[in-house]
Amino acid sequence: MIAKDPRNWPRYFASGVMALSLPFCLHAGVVAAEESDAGLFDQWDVEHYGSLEATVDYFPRDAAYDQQDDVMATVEANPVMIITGDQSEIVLEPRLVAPKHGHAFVDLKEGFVTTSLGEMDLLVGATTEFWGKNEAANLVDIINTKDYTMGLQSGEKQGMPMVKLGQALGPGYLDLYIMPIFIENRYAGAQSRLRPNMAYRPGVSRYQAGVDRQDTSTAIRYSGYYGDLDYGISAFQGITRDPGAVIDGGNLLPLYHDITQYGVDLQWTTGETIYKTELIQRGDQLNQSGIEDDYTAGIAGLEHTLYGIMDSQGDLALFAEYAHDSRGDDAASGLQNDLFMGGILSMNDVDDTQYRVIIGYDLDEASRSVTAEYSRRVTTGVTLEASFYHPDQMSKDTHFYSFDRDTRLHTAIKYSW
Amino acid sequence: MFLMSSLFSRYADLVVRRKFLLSFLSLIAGFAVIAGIPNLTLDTDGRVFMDDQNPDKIMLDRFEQEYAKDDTLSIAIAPQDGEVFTPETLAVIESLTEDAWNLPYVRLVSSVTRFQNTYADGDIGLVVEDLVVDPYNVTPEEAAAAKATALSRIELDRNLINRDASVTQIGVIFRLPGLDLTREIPEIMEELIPLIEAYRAQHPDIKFYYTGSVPLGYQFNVASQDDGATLTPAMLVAMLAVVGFLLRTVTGVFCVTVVAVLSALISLGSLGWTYIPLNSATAIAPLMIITLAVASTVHMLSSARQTMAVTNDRREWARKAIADHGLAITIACLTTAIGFLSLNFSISPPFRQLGNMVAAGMLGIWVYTLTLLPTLIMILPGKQKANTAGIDRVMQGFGEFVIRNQRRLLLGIPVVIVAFSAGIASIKLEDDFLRYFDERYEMRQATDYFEDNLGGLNVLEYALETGVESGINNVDYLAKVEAFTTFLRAQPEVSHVRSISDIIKQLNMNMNGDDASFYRLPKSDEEVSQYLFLYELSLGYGMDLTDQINIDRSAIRVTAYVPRTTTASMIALDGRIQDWFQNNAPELTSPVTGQTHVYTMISARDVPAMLQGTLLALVFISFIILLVLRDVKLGIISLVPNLIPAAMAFGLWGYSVGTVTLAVSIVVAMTLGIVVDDTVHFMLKYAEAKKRGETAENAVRYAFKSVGMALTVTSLGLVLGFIILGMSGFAVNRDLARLTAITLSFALFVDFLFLPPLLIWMDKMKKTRLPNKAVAATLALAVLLPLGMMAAPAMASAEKGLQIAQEQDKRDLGWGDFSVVGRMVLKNKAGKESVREFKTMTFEEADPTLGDKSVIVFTRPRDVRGTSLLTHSNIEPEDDNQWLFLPALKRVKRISSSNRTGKFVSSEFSYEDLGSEEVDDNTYLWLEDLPCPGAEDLTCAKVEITPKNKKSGYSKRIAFIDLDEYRNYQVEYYNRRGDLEKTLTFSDYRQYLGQYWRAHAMDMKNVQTGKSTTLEWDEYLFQSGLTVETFEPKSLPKLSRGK
Repeated sequence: MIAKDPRNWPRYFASGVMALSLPFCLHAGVVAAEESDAGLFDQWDVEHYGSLEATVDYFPRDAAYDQQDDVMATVEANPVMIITGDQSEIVLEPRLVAPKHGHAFVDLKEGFVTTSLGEMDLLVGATTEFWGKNEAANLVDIINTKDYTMGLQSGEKQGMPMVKLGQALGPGYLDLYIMPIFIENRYAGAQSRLRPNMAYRPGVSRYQAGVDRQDTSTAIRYSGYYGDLDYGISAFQGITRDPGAVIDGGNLLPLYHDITQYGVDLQWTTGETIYKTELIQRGDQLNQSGIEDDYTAGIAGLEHTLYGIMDSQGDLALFAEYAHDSRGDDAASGLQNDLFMGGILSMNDVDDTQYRVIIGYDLDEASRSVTAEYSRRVTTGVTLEASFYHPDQMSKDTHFYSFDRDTRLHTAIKYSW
Repeated sequence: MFLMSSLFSRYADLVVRRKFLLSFLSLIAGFAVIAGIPNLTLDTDGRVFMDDQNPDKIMLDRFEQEYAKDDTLSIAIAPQDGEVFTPETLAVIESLTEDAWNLPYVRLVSSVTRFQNTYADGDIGLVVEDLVVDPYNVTPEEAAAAKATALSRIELDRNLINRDASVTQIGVIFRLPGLDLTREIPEIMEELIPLIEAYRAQHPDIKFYYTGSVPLGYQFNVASQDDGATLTPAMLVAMLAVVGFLLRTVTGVFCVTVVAVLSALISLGSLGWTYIPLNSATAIAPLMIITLAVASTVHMLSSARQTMAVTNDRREWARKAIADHGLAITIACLTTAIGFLSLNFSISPPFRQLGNMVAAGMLGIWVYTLTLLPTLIMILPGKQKANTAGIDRVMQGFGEFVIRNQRRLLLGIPVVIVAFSAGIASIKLEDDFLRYFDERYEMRQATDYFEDNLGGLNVLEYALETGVESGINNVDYLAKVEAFTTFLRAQPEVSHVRSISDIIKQLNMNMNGDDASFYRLPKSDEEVSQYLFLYELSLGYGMDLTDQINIDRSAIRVTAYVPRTTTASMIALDGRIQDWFQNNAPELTSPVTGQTHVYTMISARDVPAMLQGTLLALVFISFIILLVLRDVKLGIISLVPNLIPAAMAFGLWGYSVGTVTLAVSIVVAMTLGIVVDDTVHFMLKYAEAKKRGETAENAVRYAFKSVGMALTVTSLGLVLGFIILGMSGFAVNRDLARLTAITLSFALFVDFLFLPPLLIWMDKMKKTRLPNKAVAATLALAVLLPLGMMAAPAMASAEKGLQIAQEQDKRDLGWGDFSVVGRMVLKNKAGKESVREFKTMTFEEADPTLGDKSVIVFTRPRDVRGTSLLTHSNIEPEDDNQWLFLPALKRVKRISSSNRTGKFVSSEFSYEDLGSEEVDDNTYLWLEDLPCPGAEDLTCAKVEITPKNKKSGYSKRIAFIDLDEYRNYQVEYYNRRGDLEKTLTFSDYRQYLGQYWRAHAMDMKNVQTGKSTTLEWDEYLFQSGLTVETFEPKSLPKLSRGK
């Protein structure tokens, strides 16, 4: 039986209540204020929309470990409320998730106030950020931790509380991030598939001596474009988003520690062909063997689009990317000498039908994985997504051997209002 | 859940230690809100239920701008001798007419004595004069003559007099400045009421009744005060009686009073701070709060009372009450508040305000129940009681009964549920705003008398538009107006029709020596305009035709008066009228408007709006239940007792009453939050016992034993409270309260008799089969998805062609920036439609060597909402720079823009068709001048345009450009093979900034495939201050949110 850490409950409860009631309270306040002749709120504009999604993942092959289930499922609501004023903006987007295994939870994916201070943009609150250029992996992307409740294959970003300052500088744009509170990764328990051979204990984590959840992480990024070149340079110092692991009573616990990372990402767009690369240098990261290590990693590739293939309206984008890591087999990410090839066929029809196929080869270990995805709109507001993931010869892989039997059929239906 | 309560356990310790500090802080915060009460005023406008966004209201406003806004007063005068035309009565009518002219804001007074009679006079032709020339000195003969004239005139029939001339009316029309309706209407009424009283005293042999929109507005004011004054004490007494009877403690009663009154004041204060006036619907918010406060506080008090039996440590009474019930109370307050907050989806502003006020009050209840109430329990000198309440034993017995009969109940109750719910089919929406107040009010009695004896007060307004200035003089048009008037008079519902065609017929007769055979429309347009001119010149003081004919004399207003209407009969009547238009005069077709119509349709409009709100509340509340129960299956079962009671209540209402007013739309959302409390309490206890390893039966027993009594008592208290509210004289409040009371009763019924057998059955189901847990997930899908879905667009000719292109380009320079909302309707060959909506913003680069910058932000379909495309155009042949923003990932992605020929969102428009274009991109050849397609009166140049870039999807285009303003009227696109592929037509051109023309509708037809796309543009906004910095990739996340 998995014990639940009672220390986290007041936090879950409080954030849940806040997330659920805040949009309503704020909306009520603003609606009331709008109707008054107080004048102050004349400029406020409230909008809300959102989505409701049900996901079922079915694993047709018998599980490798006891306790693992053949079906994983979630129901997820994603209401969004945006309050726009003359000078500032409030955005609230909680993710309300009820998984089949484990308990329901709320993540404040977006919940911030943003305003301009002269030429500077200020954001206070929780938000998600995207850094990077590549398709198969985004090595530089480091701001947010992830929710892995549907398995380590598919992580959903969680909102990170921060104060963010942005300012146009020269030809580009400079962002400064101060993150005073750390939101931990969320892992699934023993019943989940696509997990390590030993299960995580949900809600419990460890910190290395001298490291604390309240430690402030900081980051800085300068990004922009020059002609056909889009670029980004970034630096990060603080708690790692890729924790090591310790074993405790037959369970895995994530072990968080401090790291430093420098990153560069570049994209060169020339007509139908696009070249992309990301490079990082990271210090003090725990590696696969549990030793702190400095390393360099990179990914590079190209994408070529064929428009209107075979006289249809469909566009086919083909891409190939190669990832390398200086730690070799000790790379915790498993992207030490890997090649990815894929194609995205967009039918450009009324239902936005799209097919995606991605094949990943580990050139060291000859293991492979195939992902095929299909998505379309079923009717107004309702979209369907189905995918098939198959690991091949994975039992020999040093990193993902525990995924060997986890062939997955994934179905998701989403209603947006 | 059990761990969550550890939070409340720790909080309970805090309260015990810091009771005074917490109470003090909560009181300070409360008083800050309550301090808003002095800002409250009372709104007396009868139109308070109409939102500015209501399309019916928008149409009415337009109509009233064209003619006049009629604020009316109708004084019915009924002499007891049954004869209006006596010298004495005529003198009284004249005197009251004169007095009515002295009321504030009067625009026009009409009465039978001052009726503008017309007749022929041999010497001077037409005479227009008062029907009774010298009303104070009338001989019986003159009176008889006036009576004969009055009865012969169709303009008076069942309007100014009834058919046996026993009742007449004085009609007063006001023009209110509309600056402060909370003062203007009472100002009139405070002069009118003493005036009528004086006449009643002086003339006991004559009955006076007054009604109309001005007294109605005043009634809204009086009724809300009445509700406040009579219902509040009854409510307080009843609530306190319930608490007193249940807990048998005076201290307890005092505690409840304090919390209830403070919270009620907070709800009022919260409205005060918004400076919105109180109105008849929001006046009952404090009463609702009092009821809800009792339900919340009872849990704490009954727990304290149970602890009394164990210990005499007062701190322990309070501590245990919070630790055991803090969570349940918090959840209950939260779900109730969410239910009420979802009223914000209503189209009626008073309901939105009501929802917000009650939600604010719920916050007060929650805070005070967890701070002030335990403090009072600890410090007040309540006596310790040692006995346990006997009702608990009754509950245990009841639990046994349910378990014994579980099979019968499981099969029988659904039958009952279906039987009740089937009554929903009999529900009819009926909004008759004249009868929103019941017979206890004088104004309602007057309205009934007036409509039964004289004629209708409800009006259906039609504006018959000719589209031509002074077009109303046209005799063919007038013949249709006359036919329309005759048709309306033939409808059984209609008592009177006001139409200028009657006056014109009368005038024609008068101008022809009062020859009755000339009582018809004149033969020529000139005669009509002469007669009307003469007539208007001769009209008495204050009278004119501007309220029947619009300013440019292009339309006539025809008004039908309809007594005793209902929504259904009104819609049926209008249906027949619209049919008449279709069959007889399609060019005059006019939608119905008028205040009556807005009210008639208000429920029908609010129901779909609130459906969305209810659905959202359901999603939120269900999620809270999921959070609390942490069991998907139980969460889904909990939907049953939450939704069924409302269905049963509406069914019962359908069988018994049948008609509902405006209240109907908000009841479900409102009760949902309250009903959930019972379910949560019961299921929490059930889940708790199951977790201990009890059988389902024992878990049900445990649930009955531990919460059965509290649920019964709080439900009874709530039902009682809402029954008292149901005594309101205002129909909207009355229906709302009664429906709520019934729903809450059914909720208790379902929670006790159906939920337990259902839980046991589900438990057995699990044991007997279902090895596969996928069933639970499938069930979740099956239930949530349908719920989700409910919720649920030659060298010389070359030079001339270039000149035209340059002129067109030149005329469209210098607009700076603009934003516009686009709506695309994509139609496939079979006619199936799908819709895309987006906002685009464009920035004009002053430098001609740089292309413009633009952003498209999609808003529909909802699943791509926020997806945005930023384009920096470059001069041909260089590709544009494009960035795509994907909101789900928050990723800004530079994309290749070589795809000119691709379809924009699978419409018939390609990227190339929508992109910006410079003159140098093409070569031009003028072909000929000809009438513009779609606008024959303009001359268009037909120009052949050949693109220079080989990547273009077209070999050429043929454009039709008008030579007055250089606007495109039509463009034909020829594919690379040289065949005609698509035709684009432009229409609805409007000019902006006095210079720039923009088409508001574009229709692209693909000749080859039969598909088409219409693109409508709306909300053009020029020079709104967009800067070039806005059009950078960095700004995309912000732009995608619509700012």
